[in-house]
Amino acid sequence: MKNIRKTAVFASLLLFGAAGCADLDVDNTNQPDRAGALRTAGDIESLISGTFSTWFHNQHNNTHSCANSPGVWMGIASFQGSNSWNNCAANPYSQIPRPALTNAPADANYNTIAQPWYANYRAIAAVSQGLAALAADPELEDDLSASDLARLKAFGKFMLGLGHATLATVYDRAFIVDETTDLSAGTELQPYGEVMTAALGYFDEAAALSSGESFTIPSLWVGASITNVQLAKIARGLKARYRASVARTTAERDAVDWAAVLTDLAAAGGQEWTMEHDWVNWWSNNVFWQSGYGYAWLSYQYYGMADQSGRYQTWLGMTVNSRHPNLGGADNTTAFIIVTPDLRFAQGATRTAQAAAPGRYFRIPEYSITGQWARPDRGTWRWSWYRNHKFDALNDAGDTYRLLPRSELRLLAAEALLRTGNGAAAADSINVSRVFNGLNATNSSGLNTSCVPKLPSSACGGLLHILAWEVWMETMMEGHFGSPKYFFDRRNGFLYKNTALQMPIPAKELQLLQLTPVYTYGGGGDGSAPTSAFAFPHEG
Amino acid sequence: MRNFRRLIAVVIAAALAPVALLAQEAATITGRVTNAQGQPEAAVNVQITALQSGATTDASGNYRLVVPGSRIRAGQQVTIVASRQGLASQSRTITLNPGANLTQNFQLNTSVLALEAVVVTGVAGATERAKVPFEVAQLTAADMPVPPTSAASAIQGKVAGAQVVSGSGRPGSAPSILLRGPQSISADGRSQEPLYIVDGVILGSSMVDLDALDIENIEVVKGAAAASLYGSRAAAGVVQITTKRGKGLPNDEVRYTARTEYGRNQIAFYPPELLTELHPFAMNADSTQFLDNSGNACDWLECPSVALAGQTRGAAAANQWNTFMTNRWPGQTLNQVEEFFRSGVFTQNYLAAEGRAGGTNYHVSYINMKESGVLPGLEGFDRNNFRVNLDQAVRNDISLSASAFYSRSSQDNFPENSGNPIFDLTRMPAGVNLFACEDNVDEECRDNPRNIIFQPDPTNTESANPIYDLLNREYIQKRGRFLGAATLRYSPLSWLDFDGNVSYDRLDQEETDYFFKGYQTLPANPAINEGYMDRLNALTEAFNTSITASMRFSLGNNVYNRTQLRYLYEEQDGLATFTSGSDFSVVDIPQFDVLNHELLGASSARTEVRSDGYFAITNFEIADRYILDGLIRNDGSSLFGEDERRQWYYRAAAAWRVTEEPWFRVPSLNELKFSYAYGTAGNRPNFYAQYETFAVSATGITPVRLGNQQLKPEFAREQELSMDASMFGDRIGLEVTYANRVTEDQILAVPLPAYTGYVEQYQNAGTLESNTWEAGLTARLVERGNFSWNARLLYDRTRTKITKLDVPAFTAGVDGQALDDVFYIREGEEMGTFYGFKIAESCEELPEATLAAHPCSEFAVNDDGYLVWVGTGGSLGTPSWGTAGGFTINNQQVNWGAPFAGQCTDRATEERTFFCPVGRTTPDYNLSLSNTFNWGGLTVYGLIDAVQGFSVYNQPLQWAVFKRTTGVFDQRDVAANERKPLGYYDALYSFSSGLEPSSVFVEDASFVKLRELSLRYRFGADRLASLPGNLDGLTLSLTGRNLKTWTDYRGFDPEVGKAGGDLGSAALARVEGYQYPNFRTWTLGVEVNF
Repeated sequence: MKNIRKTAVFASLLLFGAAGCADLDVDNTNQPDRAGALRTAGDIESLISGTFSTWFHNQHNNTHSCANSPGVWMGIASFQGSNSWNNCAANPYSQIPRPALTNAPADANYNTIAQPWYANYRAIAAVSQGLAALAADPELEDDLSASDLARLKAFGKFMLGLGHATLATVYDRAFIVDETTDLSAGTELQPYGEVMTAALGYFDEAAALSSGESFTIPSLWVGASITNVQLAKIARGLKARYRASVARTTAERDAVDWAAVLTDLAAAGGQEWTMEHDWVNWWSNNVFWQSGYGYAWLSYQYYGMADQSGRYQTWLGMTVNSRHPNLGGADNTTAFIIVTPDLRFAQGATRTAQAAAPGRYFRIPEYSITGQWARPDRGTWRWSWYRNHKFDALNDAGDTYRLLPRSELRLLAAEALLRTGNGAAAADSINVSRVFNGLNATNSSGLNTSCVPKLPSSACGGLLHILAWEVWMETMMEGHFGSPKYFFDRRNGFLYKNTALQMPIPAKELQLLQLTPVYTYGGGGDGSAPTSAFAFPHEG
Repeated sequence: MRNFRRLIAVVIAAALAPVALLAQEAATITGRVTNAQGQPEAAVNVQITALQSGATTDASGNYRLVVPGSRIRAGQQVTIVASRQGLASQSRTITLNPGANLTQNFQLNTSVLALEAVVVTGVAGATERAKVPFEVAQLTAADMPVPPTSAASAIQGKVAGAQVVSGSGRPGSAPSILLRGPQSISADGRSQEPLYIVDGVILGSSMVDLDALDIENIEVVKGAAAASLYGSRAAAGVVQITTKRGKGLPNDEVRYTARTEYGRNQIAFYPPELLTELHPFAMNADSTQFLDNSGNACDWLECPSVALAGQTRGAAAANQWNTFMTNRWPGQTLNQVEEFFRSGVFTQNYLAAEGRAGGTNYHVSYINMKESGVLPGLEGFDRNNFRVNLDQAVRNDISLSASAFYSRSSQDNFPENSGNPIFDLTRMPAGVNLFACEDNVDEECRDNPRNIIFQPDPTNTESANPIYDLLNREYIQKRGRFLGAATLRYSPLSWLDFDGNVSYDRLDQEETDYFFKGYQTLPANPAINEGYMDRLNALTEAFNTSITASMRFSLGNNVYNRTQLRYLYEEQDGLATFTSGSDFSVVDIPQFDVLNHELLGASSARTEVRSDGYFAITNFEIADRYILDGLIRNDGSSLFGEDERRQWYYRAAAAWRVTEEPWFRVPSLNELKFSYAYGTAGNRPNFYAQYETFAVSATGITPVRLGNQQLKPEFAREQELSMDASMFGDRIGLEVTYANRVTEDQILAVPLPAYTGYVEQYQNAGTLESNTWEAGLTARLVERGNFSWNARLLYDRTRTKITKLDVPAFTAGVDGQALDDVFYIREGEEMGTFYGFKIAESCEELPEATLAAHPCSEFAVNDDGYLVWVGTGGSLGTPSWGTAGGFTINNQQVNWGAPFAGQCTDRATEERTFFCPVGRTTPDYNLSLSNTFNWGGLTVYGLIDAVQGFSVYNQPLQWAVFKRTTGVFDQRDVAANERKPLGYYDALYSFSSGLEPSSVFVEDASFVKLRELSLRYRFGADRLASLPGNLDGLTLSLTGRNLKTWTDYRGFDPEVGKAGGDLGSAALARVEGYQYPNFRTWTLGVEVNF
């Protein structure tokens, strides 16, 4: 018995004594933690420099899955392009009548509401953490040259501006977060106006920080090299864009500080912001889904205003669900082809002639000739003979993509001039592209001898309409969410009735912050566009 | 002094005794063991326990037991017992004398409860199943008359409570196994699979490499109660496989087995709805050409604008509400689905040798399996497996066991997502020829697959020829797997053993995806068209070692105790490297060096897991009828948060064998046993879960996940009640089990407020509860002469519900387009509940505002069961297709006769919503019935498997409706007044909310399947005596797998699902998303034993 006890005790000691000998601490060598990621000034630079990638990929759906950015549905719902796919919520949110956005986590299109929210804050938080780490350990700054330090701080502020401005233009409320925010204490949601004010301040700081040391932001950070001088100008150009774009209604548009817009545009000096569309790190699915071969068309809803044949008015006169590229007769004689002096459109009096003579931006492709468009039950009013081929190179093989086109700056200046009572200067700006594209020049009175655009009422559009026309043509699919038309039309009251004017805070975030009930916009409820200023038939 | 003399006497006697004993002659008992039909039974142990003597029957059922004369007293009466798992033991009393030659034959019946079987999983040493106080299911090779193509599928339909789903038919792919339902709400980065142990090797990777022909025994422990012994890895259960080792062979015998099987793979069922030979377009009077909108006749492909059949010529808009799909394609039409698939070849060759000599026994085998599958252009699966098992008694008190297994396989991979060849197939019109050559190619295009027509339907700008991809893309996966284990046993005392074990599992994977330069895509994709290649190289290793002390005590009268102490240590390492690039500078050189260097990319991941554990388990057996069991275990793992590094698990269990009570007197009841077990086990987090992480890429660093030092494993508590009974002379066996499992501390990726910048943090934030009923009924139905009929019926049902969720409700899904959000995870929801839009079936589902404006009398339920609008005074009997209702429901125009989205009441918010539950993937119940008929040498075996009351989301069919290429539209054989137009079916595809599941295509997938069928005829040694080679047996067989399925599901096979993803099991994520279809296999086989 004694031996048994001894043996049992020995065995127990042997076995249980071995426990705890194993070293169970294992490091994750795949990704660093915060301490590892922000150990050196170089790390902080990597953290902050990566935020543009986060921001861009969300804005532009830089994945084939096309489920993240609202850019596609904003473009389709504002008739910048036309398709009826459910991908990217293009079909659901552009239906007629317009539905409300579905702010439900389980909805297939929820990510178009949620992802911009999270992606922008990922970028903002990363910048904030980086700048805070730099502030907490001033010795880190010694590891960077004065030039690199200035670049880092300027770019950080620039990204804070970009992130907050993006949020302010699309969400009703948002948090303001920077390196001074104590996140452990939480933070409060602010109305979008406040958020925009903060964003404009960050852009100012970025511009100021760019005015000292010389530096170059490398292509890897933002898809193209940018000097400090260029960065300062781009910051001012973006200030102008977002100051105007935050307006949801014509009333808010009128309240925009247009003089400040002009000041910023002057400081921007026409500085474009472009990037290489390499289809590996940088490319825009927004463009693809609004203009890609076989996926999208040009909608007649707005672009039909180029037409001088009267078929646009015929088309509009039909009930929405009976609109069709054929207007009711044999298709060779009733095909709704846009006959226009605008050289951006195919030229000719017949479909065959136009197919052989593509316009600068739009053409009739072979597959349109065969009439194979898409499901008719999703609206034949979406169909047209035309597609946009302006971005073929971009869609197929890579090209330069303009994040802030010079044309946008020029036309934004025109808009600001118009709002500040300088119609003549506005007309001069507008005429740059208008005349180049074969249309007669306008003046401060809105002279429109080309009658482009020709309004649904058959009247020739006035100066605002002429401005709108050039904005639609020249800034198409470039810039903010790849859907600048949505933001321009929103503030000018041109959006189709009941289109959502902004997005709600995502439902999951509301639940997490215990800010229920969940709410939404559009579809005739809160945050819905009023009847369009164009007074489209049947819109009411 | 007296004592001293006594001592001397004893010593002398002892010294002389051997001489005296040696002088006595041995007794020999010979005999034959047969089954109820008179067929010989091999590997039956015949033992005289009292004399510590035994023997084993050979292939002819013969045995020869020699008892040394030294152990025999003249006229001694002893009990001789014949037993083997699967057969009811039988004992006889014989009288022995030194030098005697006796004959004792046995005829053993099939055992209906197999309580004689020895269990080694979850217990303190090998234990008779009758004395295990919880449920451990066992299968032997005899239960697998149709050898599964992989070890993982061996338990399919044979273990109650085990759901085995081959979510994909891709040859060489592993099925998903779910024991008693899911135990994790989210298995993202993990799986719901049980812990697998093979010959003592705790697997670090999937079971897919293991074959089934070497299996001697499988034990399945289904729940936490029984699996507590395995601690934090075992909440999902344990499957332990033991392969053959030559142990049961007679001494000095070497047995060889050669087996070959040859057959065909073929699609068992071509769903008629998947494609149609009809089209909806207008045709000329003799149906030879199409008509355009102007009424001009034209050929398809050249027609400028094909008009719908119901469209008025020259009409502005096509009218889908007046067009019925009834027209056949002109000219030659093809059933593209049947044309597409092919019949493939299946071969399996097996060579094995096993033997026993003195203290050595071994088993050596080689298996080659080739399965080409049913998709054209793919070579399928080719696997070679080698195995060596060896046991060696080194000394009386030391023995060594070693196992080594190596597998090498190659598999044609197949991307199982939308956009793949099956996706493209569902969009091909019947009037095109997929096997045609490009126009500019004169030679036979099959000589060069790059010449096969790429875009057979030029009007389809989305889908290319599916054959093109299969013939031209090279997507190959290669695997090399080594398993090795060694156990050294030292038995210093009769009651004490020490076991030291080491095991090693290594998996090498290489996966290459290659597109040649010039590869075409729709739409054009420069990253592919200029050539593309990626390669994944991955190494996974698992090293385990343990030391065990096992003690056996006799504690007075009829009280026995077994106690075990063990310490174990585990290492798991993974290293994966992924390289990709595009734009080859030269053609047909698939090397990374010749890719555009600017477009090369690489990534890698390394994981390390270190764990250890120790446990003590004790088992008391009292008077052969009361069994008490208890264990305690402590586990540590690097996967747990820093503050929660060690976790405790425990179990208490008891069993009562009522029929062993002296007072029990029910002659018809041969065995009645009740068991109760309460135990705990865990599920570990994935490697990344506890760490704070910032993602580092070429473009910078971004915060991703906030760390959690308090992260614990999921903790499952299970109560298991079971009853085992055998009746009527052991002819009927009944097993019933109820299990309740509550798994707390669910590991979930919890989203964080956006402003923190982190995406998520893994937290313990939920509870999942499941209830399971299992029953098994085994019967020896007929035993007459040389004919017998045995049957086994299994039933189980499991319900699993999320009872607590500490995070906002979230959606879950699987990989694939629009499949990310098909399930809804929230408190009170049953796991596997599909959410989407449902087609209204009654007025109660109408929105209130609609019903206020349009009373229920304006609606009727049509022959599909859907509520449709018929207008004031209208009826289904007087069709008014093409009439618009002038109102919308969920933004959908309501037309006469059209179905539309219905509303339901949200269970949580009680608000009306269009987002509704539309099905559930967990079945109401599973049922299987196996029958075995023996008649002389002929054995007929069949297994029918039924899974009832579950849903599958048939995405391919829903999406084919979008293209109007599916037979769902087919109205050719429908009475004219019941025909429905295109618009009607268009509406079933989708309403306003995107691509979520439609209730029409979340289908009831209940099925009954003839899963296995086997006809075997065995020629015994006596009938082969005239042949050379000393043959023991020759078996001819005809075998069928997955032969026939009875179901209403409109896909290739209702047994479909997607492994991985959020739910972590194809048995739970029952989504058809363009997987490789399951197929049936017929084979002929020959097996020779000598």
